[in-house]
Amino acid sequence: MHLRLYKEDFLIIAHYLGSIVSLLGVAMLLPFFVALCLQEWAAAVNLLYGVGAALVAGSILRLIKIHPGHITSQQAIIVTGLSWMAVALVGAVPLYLSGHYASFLDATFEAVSAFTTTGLTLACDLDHMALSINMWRFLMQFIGGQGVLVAALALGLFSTHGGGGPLLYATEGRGDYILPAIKQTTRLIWSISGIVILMGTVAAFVCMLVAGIDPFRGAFHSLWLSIAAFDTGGFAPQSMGIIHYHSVFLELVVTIIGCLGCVSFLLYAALIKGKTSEIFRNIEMRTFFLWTSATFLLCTIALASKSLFNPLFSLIRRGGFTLLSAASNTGFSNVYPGQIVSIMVSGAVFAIILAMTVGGASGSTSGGIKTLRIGIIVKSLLQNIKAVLLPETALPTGRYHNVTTRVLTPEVTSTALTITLLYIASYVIGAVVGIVMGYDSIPAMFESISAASNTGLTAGVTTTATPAVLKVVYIFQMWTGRLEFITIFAVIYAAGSSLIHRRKKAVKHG
Amino acid sequence: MASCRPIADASSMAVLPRLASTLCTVLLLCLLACPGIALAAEEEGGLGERHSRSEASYVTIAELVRTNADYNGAYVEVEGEAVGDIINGDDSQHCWVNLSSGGATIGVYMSAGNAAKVKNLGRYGVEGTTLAVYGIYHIACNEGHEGELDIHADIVEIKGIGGAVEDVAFDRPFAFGALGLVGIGLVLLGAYVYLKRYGVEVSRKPLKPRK
Repeated sequence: MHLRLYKEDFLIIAHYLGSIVSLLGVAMLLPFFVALCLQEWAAAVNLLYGVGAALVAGSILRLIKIHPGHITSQQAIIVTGLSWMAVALVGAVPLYLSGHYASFLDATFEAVSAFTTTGLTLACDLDHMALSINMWRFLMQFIGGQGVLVAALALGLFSTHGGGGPLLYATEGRGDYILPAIKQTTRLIWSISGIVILMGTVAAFVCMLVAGIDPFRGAFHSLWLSIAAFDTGGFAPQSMGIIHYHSVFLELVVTIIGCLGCVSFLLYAALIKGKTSEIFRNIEMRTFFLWTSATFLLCTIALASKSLFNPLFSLIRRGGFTLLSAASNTGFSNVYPGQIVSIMVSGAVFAIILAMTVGGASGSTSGGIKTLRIGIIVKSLLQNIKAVLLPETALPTGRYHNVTTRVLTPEVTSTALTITLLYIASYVIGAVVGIVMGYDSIPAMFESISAASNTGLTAGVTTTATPAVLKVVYIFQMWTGRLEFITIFAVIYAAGSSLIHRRKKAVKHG
Repeated sequence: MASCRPIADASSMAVLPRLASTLCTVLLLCLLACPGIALAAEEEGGLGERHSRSEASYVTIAELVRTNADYNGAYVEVEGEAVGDIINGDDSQHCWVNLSSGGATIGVYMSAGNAAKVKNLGRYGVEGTTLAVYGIYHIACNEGHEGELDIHADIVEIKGIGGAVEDVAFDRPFAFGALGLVGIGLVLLGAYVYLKRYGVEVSRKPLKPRK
């Protein structure tokens, strides 16, 4: 199969990208109206620039090919890969104009971090940021959490474009259909998210009132924190993050919502249908429980060896919260970055790194390798051991249960291993670049894994002073990590082979 | 009961108590000659051990949040702007005030009386009250705060009241530029919709065959 792109392919891809960028402009109207209502005039103008940029860029791209016709799987992959970067570039416009970012690169970093639900931030003076700009940050996390293309599909943007919808859905890293129709599936994802976020908002709002925060600000903050928790984003509206609220109850609420965010939407659909036993049978839930328990135990033992967090409750509140936040890839932290690298024992940091590496379920808002792949790899390993022990004539067949019982084929294992290896390679490459840039190995490794697994915990490496090269590497890691590599590699391969072909053609004719 | 709200209660005072208060103030001024007694009076409402200001080491908040073990348990002086919200403490007598300076923020646990000195909280369009805080710094506070990195304030001084700041980022030509950009975008969108409906026939040309 040729992955080379022709002119026609470029035109169709441009049209679809234009549609998505235009939709982003519509989404930006929500914070714009918030700005108008709150009389945040400067912020309103910044957001209006964002709307304008989205409209202009989106319309020009759509005008390139007015009738795109059917989209092929090859084009769909490239649209998916590029759309996440395109929305981040346009989404960065109001952020940059707000004056809270040192450069457009920093604003783009923030937008990529938001859309990929990573949660690493480069915002300066976040405490004085307009509520409407903050609203935009969290709205980007919400859109990214559900999936940029899922958002477009849920709103019926591609319903008239032949087979485009299902292809785009599949290429965004969501292989399973929850419902037979694509539109219903995407709407179910949004409905589940809406219900959980609403529940989280109410619970967080009560905590805010108990903490003495005024109800107006409390309402905004509780909604945002609930979005950030369920979408495993981890942004916070204040510079101190979740520490700002000094509330153990709020930490409990975001932990629960964050853990709900790393459950697969497929499992939610099964639970809605009354299949409650799925919680205990599901390979992803089992793996998540075992992996999180193991890392939690390791973290607790390591922290207990040093009398830093003295009463057990202190140890559980600080270590346990951070670990669960890492395991769910939420990225909230109730310890300062400085505390992670300088006073936490290395065993606890190692446990947090392990928890981040895997993340939540596939088909959830979570990032990382995913519990499904780890479960499949472990099952496959056990199957291989069984095959060695059994007589040569016996053919053991492995199975795993993910809502339905499925056969563990070599193809499934191979795909799981490939993606796992790509994640590990990304973690290592990011860490090496960090070390080359002069950072210590543990913070460099911590930050690299946090970026590539879309967690967002920081060991203090990600600041405005971080070298631009490292920021670009983290942007690439967040982008590839969210789309699970293959899509991005397909974009790079297709672009590369098209370029080589053009050059060869030019040499031949010239 | 003391309140944790930033604006102090303006309770009306009767004439006699006010007179008594004035006399007390005069007496207090006389006692200033004795540094020990004066210090005790300043520290009213503080937490924990009593220290003199001269004992405090001036540290930036950025230095403290980087977790500087040298200062753990030390009496420090920090200065910063109160931002965000005043959060209720473990009891009605105490509050959390978050102080920000130089891009770093730290939680300061203080008495409700001291927290009431905060007239403005740093938010969008508001510059918060700037405080100088003298207190004990903990890398991981185990005095009821479950390992939080914090300062337990002893003395709190107002360095600046703060207040509303003008929306400096807003200027009219810049706003017209935004409207112009949206206008261009709408024209282009209109052109796309028009061409889609009436302008161009649906391309029936097959895609270029793959070699």
